[in-house]
Amino acid sequence: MSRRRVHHGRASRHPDAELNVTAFMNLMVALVPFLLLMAVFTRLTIVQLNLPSSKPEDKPEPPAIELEVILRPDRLDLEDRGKSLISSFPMKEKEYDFKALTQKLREIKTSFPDIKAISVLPEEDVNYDNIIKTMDAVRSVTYRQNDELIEAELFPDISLGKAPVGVSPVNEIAGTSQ
Amino acid sequence: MRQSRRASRMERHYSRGKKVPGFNLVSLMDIFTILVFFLLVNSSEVQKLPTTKVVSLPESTADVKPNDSIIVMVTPEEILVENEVVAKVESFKDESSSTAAIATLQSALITQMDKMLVLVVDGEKKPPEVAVMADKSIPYNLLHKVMQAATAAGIEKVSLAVIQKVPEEG
Repeated sequence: MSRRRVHHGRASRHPDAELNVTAFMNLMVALVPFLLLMAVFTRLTIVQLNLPSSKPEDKPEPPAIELEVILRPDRLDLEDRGKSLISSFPMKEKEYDFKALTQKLREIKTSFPDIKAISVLPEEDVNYDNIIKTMDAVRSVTYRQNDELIEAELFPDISLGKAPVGVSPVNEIAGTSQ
Repeated sequence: MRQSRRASRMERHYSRGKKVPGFNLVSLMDIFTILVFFLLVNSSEVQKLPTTKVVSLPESTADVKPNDSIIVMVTPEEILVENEVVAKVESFKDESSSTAAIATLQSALITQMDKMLVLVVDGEKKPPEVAVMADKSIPYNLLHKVMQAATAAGIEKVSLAVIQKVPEEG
């Protein structure tokens, strides 16, 4: 500042020219709150399910393994449809053990890399939140490799149906795709 | 009155410090400009699903973007189709009234389908879709009945709305 004060005859009488930013500031002050109000901070996405259409479909021979995750009130059951119970995951601290399920499915995925379909069959009283969590656990797995998080696909074609009552595996299944 | 040299010098000396410094707006303008651009870019993405406080959606790692669809909202008390209350959740509880409730929901969906513009792709009508925005506390039972009504109304695609979250290691 002091350097500018050095007198140069008449020039010193003019004050430093300043940009008039009032209009710009007005614009900003109006725009910022408006855009802040408009801004969406939670991003909504969807999990897509395809319900079976009325059109008849010809079914090819059944795949090598038909995975089913059954959400019981107290545990998660992983089954090969109508054939065998693969494993059962009891609740841990009143929460379903999704991590164990994902790990088990990862093992299965290595032996059946072509299979993409899985059915999620919750019992009547199972919470919607837990259904979504199961779908997440079944869809993909995220693991760390060389300090990088990698998301690997597991079984993205999720069907949603009703849990079989008792032993008989009779259920309506809504076919889905991711 | 003629000032002495000393007086004029002193006056000049005092007036030097009294000059009001202009507000320094540079940093403020920087912030605003950055903020405005950030928000503009952010809001350019049109949200197709409404945000509501009535339902608390579950969180999921799904990253499929929502598309145009009929919105069925399932709150812990009511079922709304495109923001109109269609049925009470209570009526879905027992068997006798739930059949009637499913029927009302079905007819409401059919009316909405008629209102919607139908996309025609390659001479084929694109089937209408339904997005279910359900509260995370509802039981599967109820969700199943809503889906039943949707199938009965001839809808082939049902999607569940969720809030996106970052996948965790697991």
